[in-house]
This record gives sequence, structure tokens and C-alpha cells, in this order.
Amino acid sequence: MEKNKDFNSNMKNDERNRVSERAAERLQARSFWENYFHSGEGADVGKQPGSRTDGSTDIGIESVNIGDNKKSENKSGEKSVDSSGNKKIKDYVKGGSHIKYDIGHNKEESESMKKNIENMADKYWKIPEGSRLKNVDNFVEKPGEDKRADSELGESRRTYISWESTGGYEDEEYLASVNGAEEADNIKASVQNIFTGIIAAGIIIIICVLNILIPDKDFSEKENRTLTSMPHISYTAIVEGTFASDMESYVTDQFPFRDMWIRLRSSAETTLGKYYANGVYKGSDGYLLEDINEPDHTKLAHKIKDINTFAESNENINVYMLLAPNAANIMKDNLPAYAPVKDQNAYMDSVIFRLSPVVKYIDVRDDFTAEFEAGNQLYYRTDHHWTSYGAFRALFISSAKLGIPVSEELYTKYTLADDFSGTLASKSGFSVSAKDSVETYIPKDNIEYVVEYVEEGEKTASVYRQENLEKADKYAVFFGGNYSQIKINTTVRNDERLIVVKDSYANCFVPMLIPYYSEIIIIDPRYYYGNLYALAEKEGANKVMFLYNANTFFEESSITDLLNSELN
Amino acid sequence: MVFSSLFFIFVFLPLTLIIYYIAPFRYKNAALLLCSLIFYAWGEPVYVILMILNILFNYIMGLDIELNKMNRKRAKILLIFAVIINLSLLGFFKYYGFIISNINHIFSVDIPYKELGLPIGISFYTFQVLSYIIDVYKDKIKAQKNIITLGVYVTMFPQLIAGPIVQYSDIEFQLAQRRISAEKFGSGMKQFIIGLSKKVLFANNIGSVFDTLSAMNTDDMSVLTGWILCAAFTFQIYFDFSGYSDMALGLGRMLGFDFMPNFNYPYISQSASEFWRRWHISLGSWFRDYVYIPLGGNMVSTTKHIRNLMVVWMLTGFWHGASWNFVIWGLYYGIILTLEKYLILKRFEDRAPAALMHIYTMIIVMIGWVIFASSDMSQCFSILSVMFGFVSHPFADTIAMYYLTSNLILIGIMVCASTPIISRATEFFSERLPKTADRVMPVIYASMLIMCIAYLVNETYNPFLYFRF
Repeated sequence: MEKNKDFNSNMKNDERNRVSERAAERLQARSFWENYFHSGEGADVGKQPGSRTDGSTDIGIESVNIGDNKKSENKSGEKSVDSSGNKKIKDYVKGGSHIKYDIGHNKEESESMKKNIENMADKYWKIPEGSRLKNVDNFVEKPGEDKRADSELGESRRTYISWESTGGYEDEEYLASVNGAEEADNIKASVQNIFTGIIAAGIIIIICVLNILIPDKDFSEKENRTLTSMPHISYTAIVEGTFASDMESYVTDQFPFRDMWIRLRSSAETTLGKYYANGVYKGSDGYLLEDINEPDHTKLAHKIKDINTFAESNENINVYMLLAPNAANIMKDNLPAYAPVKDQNAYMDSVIFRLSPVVKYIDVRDDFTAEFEAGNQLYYRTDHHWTSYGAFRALFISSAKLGIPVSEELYTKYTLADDFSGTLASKSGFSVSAKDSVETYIPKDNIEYVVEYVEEGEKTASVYRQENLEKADKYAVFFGGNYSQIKINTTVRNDERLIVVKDSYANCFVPMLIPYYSEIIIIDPRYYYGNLYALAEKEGANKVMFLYNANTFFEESSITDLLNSELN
Repeated sequence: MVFSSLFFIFVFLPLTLIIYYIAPFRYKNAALLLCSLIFYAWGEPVYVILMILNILFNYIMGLDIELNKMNRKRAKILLIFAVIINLSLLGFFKYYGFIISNINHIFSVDIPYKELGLPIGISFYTFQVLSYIIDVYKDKIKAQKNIITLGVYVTMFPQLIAGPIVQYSDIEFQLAQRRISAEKFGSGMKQFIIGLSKKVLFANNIGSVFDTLSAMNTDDMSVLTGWILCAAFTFQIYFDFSGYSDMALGLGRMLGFDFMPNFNYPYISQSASEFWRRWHISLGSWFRDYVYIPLGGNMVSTTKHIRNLMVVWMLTGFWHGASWNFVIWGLYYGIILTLEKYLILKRFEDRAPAALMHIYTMIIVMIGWVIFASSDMSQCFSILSVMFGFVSHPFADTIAMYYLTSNLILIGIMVCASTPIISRATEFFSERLPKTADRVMPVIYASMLIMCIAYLVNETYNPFLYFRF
């Protein structure tokens, strides 16, 4: 860049200080300097933003002419601004410099020109990328201070415009790259920018409108939870910040087409090579596999101790325990490569180790592994439950310890539905093409029974809630889901009364037990607030079975209350 | 409120922009101030009062200092008073716990203290307000007589929470006069989308990898896992912070402001010195203008120069957080930069191949990040020992392979996004095929926006690393 001594000597020190040094220091630019143009013939504001030349960052000014100012003389001999002057401006701006540009010294003209420039700046001067119009102001110069001024002028007014680089550090490369795809050429960029603005604003507006129009949902069937509703405004809520966070959950929960967005994200994740989302692995053969939970070992020890205490203090009750291994445990081969899934077998072994010998533990793992290797489906592809076949295998293994004869001939297999897409599909958002059948094993012995939902005060004649087959969660065909206490009274005449303390895995297991017990009481500790000691005594139960899937057993905490012997 | 949230994008932003665009020019600043205060109060319903008082105080001080322009001595006293008050507020709310716990430690006393909640953005707006006051004193700018305008400068929501630290002199003109247009809106939206994508698609993703890996015990961590852990943080903090800065710049442009960029592809730097010209530029500039240069900068004797460097870097580190690892991180760079200035660069800068300098720089930077991210120095050392093979751990294990293979594509994309390649390609495209680019690029941006929305709907993990400043 050229330094022009004439110009520099005309600069006033404080102006230079005010602008140049600060800019110089701040920009860490190369040799920084100000340039001061004298308009000579005046300048008028350019009509069209400048065209690009030789790849330099362009400048919007074609020529700058304002009024006709014959009084001023260009004593330095510099040409008045024209294309060559512009070129200099280009170089200066490109290099990160600051320029002041004098455009007139007539007072009235200057005032009006100042206004003009401010207007024109917007319309005509596409300020070069990486620089900006900094200032338009009027100065009063005393005669003689500006050597190039015409001495006849006396006091003169000058109008300066100045612009400076906003950070053109190294070279135009930086200027261009700073704003991503934004063009150095402001004309071309503007159309693209406008389109981008329109389309982005459009998306936002459409979603906002949908947000308003679509009514709030109370409950999400897919996610199986209540959705946040519009929070109330209160002084405390605002001050504590709960209003703000509730508002944000509200907007997220009630966002239109939630499921579609989640699926979109999951397909993006699989494209990136990630086969894990929200606690679920996308395995091979269309299987979604829920991650394995590690138990809190202290709490686990307490749980086992409570179970042991119950079994040991109730000698007349046979206590059984069956922990169903989860899919990610048995079907390890289907997990994505290197998946860091915890070793559930080790945790289950520790349970068996701690369990009192009085408790009859049923270990189905070996059988399940064999069944899996034989190609039989033990778990649903898109749901975290075991299939009814898996439940049947577990029953088969338990038959010896339970003392009941079980074989396949005693049951008829029925298909209840064949397009089941379960919890894991919605939890993870992964799309899986395969759909599962929901089957059940109905005992050939047509025993009559009554199902009583104790807390709800309802009685039905079937363990199957057929209306749930029309809904998304088809697994809820078994008993309609989980309830605090369900009593099944059968017409079987024996003295076997069984209490099942369970999670939802038992829902497709218990129906197969009907021919063997006169009464089955199903307790879900998450909803039941009573005490097992009291219940067993009241109902005269002679068998108690703890039936859980390992993941849920390891993370649930309500068994402790159920087995709290102090309440007894 | 964070920018990368559905609430911000679909509630706050549309409402604010509508109010702002409708408001007549004279009232735009007032509208912006009101919306920004709501924005701040949303996250800090109580500390917003502190910020308002802060603005009032500095408004008065600014006018006062300017009134006393002729009486340098009095002006200086006023300046010192203002600076002390501002810094004390920052120091109190941010460093109080740190100071007391260290006093307890050193003097074996047990002064009880309650950890105060840190007001969001206090480090940023305190520095902005200091730049205003100091520049008024130095007569670089005129004191702002309109309290609303000053309020806008301090609280403007794009840069309030997490920068860039805008010096008053940079936007003095824009505060009074700025242009809004459809083109600026679109250009701002472009940058906002770029920033949002960096944050949501890159930073949050690789951040969850970092979180999982950093919870692991370093006792049996393989070397490769250690490096993945370090790389995850390296990417996370860059895309998180530069994404947030991009969003700030984009939002500013939608409002008519042109801020200076805060990041310039720092990971292509060829030296630590260059890195700090490309990373968190506004912070570096602030420290240079208000600490380094007043101390003499490099215009003093070598000893004093080194002293200046070390002071500035220690403060830079300390600014990042009330914890010793930040101070050490700052000193780490102070030492390295001093060495570079006096020894390394002279010898190697133009002679060593660029690739070598780049690798050298990245190693320095990544080691720096381990210091920065560690909650205590022992953890820092264990991770570094794993990484550099000071302990005999295996090179790779299943965990390392899992995280490597499941994140390989993402890492590849992030490496490209850390360089100017992508923006040059889009530029090239826009130049060669302008008509096509005009139709295709907006669709590309729209798809990025849609993808971000998809991730946000699913997102429960959405922290912002610099939020605690």
C-alpha cells in the first residue's frame, strides 16, 4: 500500500489519534494509516455499486461526486476521485485501513450533503464486506489549518465520511471467509440472502402458527407420560425461575409433530454411523435393544436382604424369584460393533449369590441363550418386553420349581395382532421396518375366572383388554397395563394362592398360570402402597413370586417399601 | 434463555423481531432494550436488577467523567472509582467463593461462606461497560447522554449472555443509526443458522461423547480413548462457543448491527500466537486494549514485556472461571506465547513446513484444553499421562473403538468445518453458478435449520459451556 506523505501531513493529530491509533491497535493490522482525500471537483454519490475487479474485495463506490465545489482546490495534485481514486480506496479498505473522505466545504452544501450521504449510504454504497461506514460528520476548520483550503474560504466546513475495516485482518481471504458462505460481492449475496431470509422466516412462521393452532395434548401415548401444560404466572414462579423453565418444557413438549422430528433425528444419527439414541441401540436384524442398567449396588444389597427376610420369616410361604434377562444381554450378537454395554450377567450372578437358599431362584439364561441361537424370537423387535414365547419358555423352566406341569400341548397359541410397534421405536426414534406379532398362550383347560381391579373397583371376565389392540401400545392387551393390585379368582379347586410382585413383564406371563392356582394376586409396587407381610397374611397366600426383568429390577426402588417389615 | 432452544427460536425471536421491525426508528432502541431485559430476566429474574443498577451507575459515571474532561485529576479519580466498583461487582459475584475458600486453605481458618449464584453474562457485560467508561475517560468516545442507548449497548440480547465483547467505540455509530433490510435479515439468518448448526449438530453431539468419556475412570483408559476424550472437548468448545458467537452476530445483523467476528478458524493456526488472534478475538482485543497496552505492551524492556504478557494471560485465564485450573491454563499460554515471541517463531515461523507448525499448534492447544476442562489438576495429569503414554495402558480397547467408529463421520465433518474449506466451496459455487446458487443455498440453509429443529426437539442435553460466565 502506498503511503502518501502529502495526505498524512494534512491530518490533524487529534483526529488521527481518535480514529487511527485505536483502530490500528485494535485491528493488529499491518501498517495502518489514514488517507485523506480532497474532493477537488466535489463528489456525487455513486449510482451503482461498483463492479468486481481482479478479485479484490469490492467497494460500492463507483465515483463520489457531491455538488460542484469550485472553490476548493486540490493542492496536493491528487486527482479528484474517479476510478483510480476508487482503486486506492479499494486497496486501503482491503488492507484494513481507515479513510476519511472530504466531500465539501460549503456550509449549506455540507449540511445537506451530510443528509444525502446518510441516505445514499444505505441505498447506493454497498459498504465493502469487512468494512463499514463509520462516521459522517461536520467539522469546522479554522482558516489556515488546512493548507490546501482556499484561503478565501475563511472558516470552512467540511463534511467527512469515513469508513474503516471492521476486522480485515490478513487479507481478503479472511474477509470472505468470515461470514461463511456470505459473498464478498454484495449484489450477488443480496439475492441469496433475501431468499434465505424468506425461506427461514417461512419455516419459523409456519411452525409458530401450527404451534398456536394445534391444541395442547395432555398425554403422550407414544412416550407414555403426561405432557407439560401451560404454566401459571405467579410472582414466586417468576422469581424462582420455575415459570421460565416450565414455559420452555411446555413449548418443547407441545411442539407439533414431535414424533416426526425425533424420527428425523434418528435417521440422521444412523447416517452418521451412530446406532444409539436415547438409551436404545439399533441392532441388526431389525432389533432395537434397550441399554443395560447398572444397579446401585448398595441399594441392590438392601433389596435382596429384604426379600431374604421376608422369605425366612414366612416359613409357610414358598418364595420364588425370576429375573428375566434383557434383550441386550441375551442377544449380544445383534448389538452394534463394540457397543459398550454393561455385563448384566455379572449383576444377576451377584443377586443369586446374595439370595437366601430359602428363596427359589429360577435362572432362565441358559435356556434363553439356547433359544436365541436356535433362532426363536424371545423379545419384541421394537419393544422392551419379552414375547409371549419368551414368557412361555420362562414358565417352562419354572415349572419344576413351581411344582406345576407345563408343556406346549396344554396351551393354544393365538395371534392377537401382527403390526406391533412398541416403546423402543418411539423412545429411540429409529425406524424399523419389521413389525412384530403379539401372541398369547391360552390354556386348553378352559378355566373360568374373574379379574378384579381392586383399587379401581372393577371386575371383568378376561385378562385381555381387546380394545388396546387398536392403540399403539398393543402390549397393554394384557390386563390393560399395570395396576396397583389385580386379583384373579379362578374356579380351580386347590389351595394354591399366589402373590406375584412384578413389573410389566409378568403381564403376559400370569395368564398362563391360571389353570394352576385358585387365586392369583398381582402387585405392582410402583402403585401399591400396602405391605407384603400384611397382604400375604390377609389373603392366606402360600406362594409369592418376584417376577421382574433385570433392568427394571435394578433401577426400581419401591420394593423396599413393600417389604418394610416394621409396618407389620 | 439460550439461543439454541425451541422457545427462543419460536417464541422469543419472532415476537421480538416483529416488535422491533414495527417500531418506528426513534423507538427501536427502546423496544430492543425492553426485549433484551425480558431476555435477561428470563434466566435471571433477580439479578436483572443488578444489571439495571449497573447501567445506571455507569451512565452517571460516564457523564460525570466527561463533564470533568478539563480536570484530568478529578476525571481520573472518577474513572478509578467506577472501575473499582465494576470490578468489585464482578469479583464479588464470581470469585467470592473462590477467594474465601483459598483464604481458608492458606490460613487454615474456616470462614463460612455461601456460594452465590453467578449472574449470567456478568463477565461479558462488565467488560463491555468498562470499555465504555475507560474510552470516555480517554476521550475516544463521547459519553452517551441517552440512557436507553447506553442500556441497549450493555444489554442487547445477541451479545449479552456470551459475547462477543463489543467495545463501545465499535458500535457507537450503529447505536444511533443502523440499517435494517430484507437482505440483512437474510444474511443474519444465514449466520444464525450456521451458528445454530455448529451448536446443535456438532457441539452437543460430540459433547455427549465427552461427558460419557470424562466420567470414566482414567485408571484403565486406553491411549486412544484419552485422545478421543481430548478431541471431543476440543471440538465441543470450539463449535459451542463459535456457534454461539455466530448466532450472536447473525441476530445482531437481523437487528441492523454489524459486530466484529469473534472467531476466525482458530484450528488452522500455525502457532499459539496466531491461535489467539483467531480465538475469542473480542476478549483478546479487550485485554490488549485495556491491560496490555496500558501496561506498556511490547514497547518496554524485555523483562517488563514478559511481565506484561504473563499478567495479561493470567487474567485471561482467570476471567474464564473462579478456579485454579483456569489460571494455570492462562499461565500455560502466557509461557508458551513468551517462548514463541522470543525463541520459537523467529527460528521456525517461515522455515518449518506449515503442516509441522500446524501439528505443533494443535498439540499445544489440545493440551491446553485438557487443563481447561479438568476440574482439578490431578485429573488433568492423569488424562495427559494416558494420552502421552506415561502410563502403560493399551493403545486401544473396545470402548475406544466404539466411540471412534460411531463418531468417525461426525469427526470428519467437524474437521472440515474447522477450516475455511466449506465456506470457500460455497463461495466458489456462488461465483461460478450464481443463479443456481441463489436457489440451492437457501434450501441448504433451510435443511440445516430443519435438522437443528429435529435435534432440538429430541434434545435434553443442551448446556452451553461458557454459560457460567
